[in-house]
Amino acid sequence: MKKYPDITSLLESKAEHRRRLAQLPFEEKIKIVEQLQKRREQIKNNARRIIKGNRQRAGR
Amino acid sequence: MVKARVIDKYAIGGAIAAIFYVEPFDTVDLDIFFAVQAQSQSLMLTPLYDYLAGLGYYPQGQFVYIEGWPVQFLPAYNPLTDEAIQKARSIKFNRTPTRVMRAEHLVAIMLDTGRMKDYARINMFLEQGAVDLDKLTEVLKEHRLITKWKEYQRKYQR
Repeated sequence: MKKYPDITSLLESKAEHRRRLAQLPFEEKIKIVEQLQKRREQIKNNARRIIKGNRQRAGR
Repeated sequence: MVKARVIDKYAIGGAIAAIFYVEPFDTVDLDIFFAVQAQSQSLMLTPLYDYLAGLGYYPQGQFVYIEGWPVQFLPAYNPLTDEAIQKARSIKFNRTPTRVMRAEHLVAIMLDTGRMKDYARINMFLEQGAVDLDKLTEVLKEHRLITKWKEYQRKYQR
């Protein structure tokens, strides 16, 4: 039977990181939200460009 | 807007209020809930929109864009949201006083709304110890949400 690594400690450190983020001042958290919003827009724009390029290549 | 008597009491709700208590996550808009008069049946958004237009902020769809943020103004739509506004916490954001709904009310509203993203956010509150379970139970009992809570626990809590 295949053996897999135990990632319990990785999951625990992720949860700890999230708890640390939760303790940040509200103003800091809102700055992070604004960064996330910008990142979302970049991803959407990139996806649009890729779809457009694919369509052009497909001759549509 | 409170000083200008456009609205009475208000509170930040929704995702941004949740972020006050838990880790930051991506969200589109800022929800502002406001109290309405007992006899009012209409949404009462017109005076609010007129006031904001005077400041150069105009509605686009359900939002008013204020300093780059799409803001949605929502009247209290049931006793739970009304209580959440009345009992909101007073905080300061960059020295500006504002009000944010309490964690127990946010969790109760999310439970009542019951979308998948609401359940995911309730999980954040629980995992990060961001809600007092005794206070939450009081709110859930008061607003008859205990059955929904038990259902949520059965489905989503390990």
